[in-house]
Amino acid sequence: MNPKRVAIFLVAGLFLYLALYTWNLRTGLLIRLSTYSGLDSVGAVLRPGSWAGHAAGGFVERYLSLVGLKQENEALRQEIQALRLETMTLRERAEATGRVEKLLGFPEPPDWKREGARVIAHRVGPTAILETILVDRGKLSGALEDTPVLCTEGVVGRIYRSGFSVATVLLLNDPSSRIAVVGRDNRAAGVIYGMGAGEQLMVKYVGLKSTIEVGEILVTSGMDGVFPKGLPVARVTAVRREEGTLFMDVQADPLVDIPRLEEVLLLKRAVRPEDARALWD
Amino acid sequence: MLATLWWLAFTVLGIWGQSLLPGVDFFAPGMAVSLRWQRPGATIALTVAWVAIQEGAGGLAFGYAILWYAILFMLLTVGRWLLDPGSIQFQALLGLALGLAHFLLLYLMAVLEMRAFPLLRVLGECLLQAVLYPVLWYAAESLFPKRLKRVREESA
Repeated sequence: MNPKRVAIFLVAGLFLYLALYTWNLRTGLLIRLSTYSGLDSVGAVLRPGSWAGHAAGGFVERYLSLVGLKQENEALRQEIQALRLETMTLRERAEATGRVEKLLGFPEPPDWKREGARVIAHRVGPTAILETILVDRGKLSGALEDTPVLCTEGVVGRIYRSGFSVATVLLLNDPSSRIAVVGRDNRAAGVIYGMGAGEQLMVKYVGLKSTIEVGEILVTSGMDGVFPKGLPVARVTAVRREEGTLFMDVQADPLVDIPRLEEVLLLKRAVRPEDARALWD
Repeated sequence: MLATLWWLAFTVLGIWGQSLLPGVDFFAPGMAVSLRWQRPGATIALTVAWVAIQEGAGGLAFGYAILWYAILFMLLTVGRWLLDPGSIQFQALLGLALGLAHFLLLYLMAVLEMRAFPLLRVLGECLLQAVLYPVLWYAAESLFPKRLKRVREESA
């Protein structure tokens, strides 16, 4: 083959590729197309196997859990009693807070609807450098991009890419994840940054004069516009005050055991933010 | 019909493989087999489907899979002039080249998107890609139906 023709072919190919890449960055059309075709077909292939795995695992677990059932029942009964007492106290306080907010004319917080979803895979494919999981809910069931994802222990992440029936969730430990938080006891505000798989989370922008303690639970502050206020995210493991900086060096552990995630909850807004703004206007 | 069923089974197994071993492309050996035994149109159709799967399921912006399969196509085409495409030695060399290409491409895309690059994990996945590619190619080549190979030989 003529070397000149090969060179022309290569340069033309590279030019075409760069044009396609920048056009897609601007419009997002190709990535939407591959999400609706590729991601959904991956979900269709993985879902039956994942279901079978869950069913088989559940059967074995149920069989094994018969051992020591009586002791576990006793412990759970005591826990229920303690939780009932706590709920009673908290209900009184919540109702009192609601009355005070009404008196002061606070706007009603937006409604959120919960929906369960099953984890069908963790990272998939050669381009999976982000910390993600795949869940069996997509746009058809209202799981849109930036939908908060949590489990009973706390925040898991948010939906990053959504197909028709499958969605990719960006986990809170991914380096591109940011969650605005506040200390549950001392109310020190900060932003949680993911640092990668198996690493501790970093809490940035906590002012030097703020109070934050090791062991304190960090909850979402609602300031990022993605997560509702008050969801538990992480537990503080280290606090360092260094001279010459404006902020403290805070580390935290996620409350969620990410590798063992099997089911999650999606929090869907009853009203989208833009609709809410229109209502206020 | 047989070819369609075979490639469907290959793609389904590939998706499961990629779910169990993230960071490795299980479809790449399929391209080598398809280029060797099938008409170019069939290889193009398969590549389009695999690009959609890789881009849709992956975490990066669109573009990695196009470059990845273009590099594989070039390596296979150039390598065919120099070596026997049916030899395991050629495929092992190709596996090494793909391991290196995987690292460079991922690094390029991560820089373009200003993403964090988990160096050690990616290095491990590149090594796995280099080792697994010839193994998967051998398995795919051996399991590819003889009837389909004969059809190609007769038409050639």
